[in-house]
Amino acid sequence: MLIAALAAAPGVMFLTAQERRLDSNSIQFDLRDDAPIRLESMDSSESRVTARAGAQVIDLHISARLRNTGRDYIRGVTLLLLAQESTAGGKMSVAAPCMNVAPGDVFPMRIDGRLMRPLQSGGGALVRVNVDGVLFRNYEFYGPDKLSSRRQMVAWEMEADRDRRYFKHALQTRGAAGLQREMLQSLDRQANRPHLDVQLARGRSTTKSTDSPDHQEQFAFLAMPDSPVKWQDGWAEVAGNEARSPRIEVQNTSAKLVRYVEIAWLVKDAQGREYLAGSVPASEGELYLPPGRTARLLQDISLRFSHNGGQPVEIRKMTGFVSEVEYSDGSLWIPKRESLQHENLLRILPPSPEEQHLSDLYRKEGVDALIRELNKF
Amino acid sequence: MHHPSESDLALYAGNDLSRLARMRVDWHLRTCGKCQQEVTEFSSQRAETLRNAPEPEVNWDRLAAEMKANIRLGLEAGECIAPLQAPHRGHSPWAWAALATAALVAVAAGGEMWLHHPWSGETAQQANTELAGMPPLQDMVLEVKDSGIRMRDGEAVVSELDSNSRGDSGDVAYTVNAQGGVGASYVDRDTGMVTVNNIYYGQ
Repeated sequence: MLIAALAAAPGVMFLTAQERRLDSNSIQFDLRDDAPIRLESMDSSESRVTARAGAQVIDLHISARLRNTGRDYIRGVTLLLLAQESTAGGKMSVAAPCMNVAPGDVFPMRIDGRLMRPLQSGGGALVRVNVDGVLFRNYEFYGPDKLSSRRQMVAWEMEADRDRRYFKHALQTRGAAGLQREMLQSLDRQANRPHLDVQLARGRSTTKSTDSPDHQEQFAFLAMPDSPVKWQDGWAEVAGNEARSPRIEVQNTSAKLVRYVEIAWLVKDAQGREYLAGSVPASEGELYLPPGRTARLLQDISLRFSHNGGQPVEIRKMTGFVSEVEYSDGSLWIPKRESLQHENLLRILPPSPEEQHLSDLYRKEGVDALIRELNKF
Repeated sequence: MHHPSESDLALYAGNDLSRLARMRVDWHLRTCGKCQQEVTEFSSQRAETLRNAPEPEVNWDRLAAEMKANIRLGLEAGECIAPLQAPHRGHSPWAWAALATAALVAVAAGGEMWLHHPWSGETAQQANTELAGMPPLQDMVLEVKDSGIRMRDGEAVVSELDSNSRGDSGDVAYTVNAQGGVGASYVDRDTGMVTVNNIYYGQ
């Protein structure tokens, strides 16, 4: 009898895939009373949930309207979506940088994505939406910051400030025609930016192969003139189109204590084309770098590169540069736009969210709308 | 000058101090080179230990999920038995014996997984994975493609964002973070706002 019972139990797993609409009670916005944003309305009617084997696949399509209930302009919001915290596919985030929402104003946020959770993970909402962070105009921050949203949003805001200054300078010195030219160049860079398909696996090869790497490839280093952290050495194991376990040594050359460093990682293929492969950050909470000291950033990951629908991109050269530094007082350093331009990196790196916003505004509404936007700041 | 204890400095280096204690040590380190040196050494030793660890780190989340799945399996087995025994519940010693056996099976199965016996590991693990419905974290691959970002287990897509459905084609900027995350940044077609989506490994 017991054997029969045990055999019957897995029957619950083999449910036929059934799709159903997700009712609004299945999505819960957990906003604390002291949160500076409030949910005004939500439409999740396009969302679906499907039972597959022992899991629920949740396809989210949510239009939410939120109100700024704080006392200052909101510059950015990051929402954390959780279907199941500890399992794969159970977590994602949606952020809206480059905002300028006045106190009392309502703003939209669109949430799209797929999450997964075990079929038998208890009652209640299927997806919980939490605020991970809200950044205000004065750089004050609200939120639990589980995803290090503060650092990310401050970096976006600093990039936004940097890029707005650049385009305003173009307007002031070269007029509307000069600004227009900058926007056309930006749109051209975005359309023609070389990009790779990247597969990332943690702690092993992306293909589960046990092949040993061909060789250890040394990083070349690009020095940003005003970077507070200098590159000392760096290498990764390379096998064909796969790079594994990057190790990078850096030195703090500033007078302040550094607690986070991020390195941008570029790869060059056999034809000499250069791509942004990704970023190598210091592990969260593990870096302690007093002035003058050195530290090693290591990530036990594998990256596999391809393009044009799966054609392997053989790695011929790797280059890195310091792309972000956080001091222990929470302030950040990012590269100047002039430095990026000087190193010809603007054509490789993705545009900042603000540059995306401004160029999109220019494309859709023209140069006058863009000038009005720039003059708000 | 009153220095923090050695254990506090070690905990600080591992980011294991409480927020308040961390602030206190932070404040002290601003002016104390000797303690800075100690923290640097603790950090290096910690990194070195992690690097040289002979055994892979225990995946506690996965282990917990496996234990839960085993317990669930036992409870479900008990439930399957219960209706058959219902008329006699409270009277027949066989009902109690069957439930007790089911509970013992659950505990034994849990124990087996805990001990990771090689002969039982794969089958039990497979059953648990299916029961929990979730593929193991270490089999996951995060992916950035022209069409969007996704997390997949073999061909099965676990988590995904089809960016082209939200932003204008060609205008999506992708990012790969070697700590275990991929992102897509685009101007949303409906809201006109820059939206940045990120998918992460479980933790």
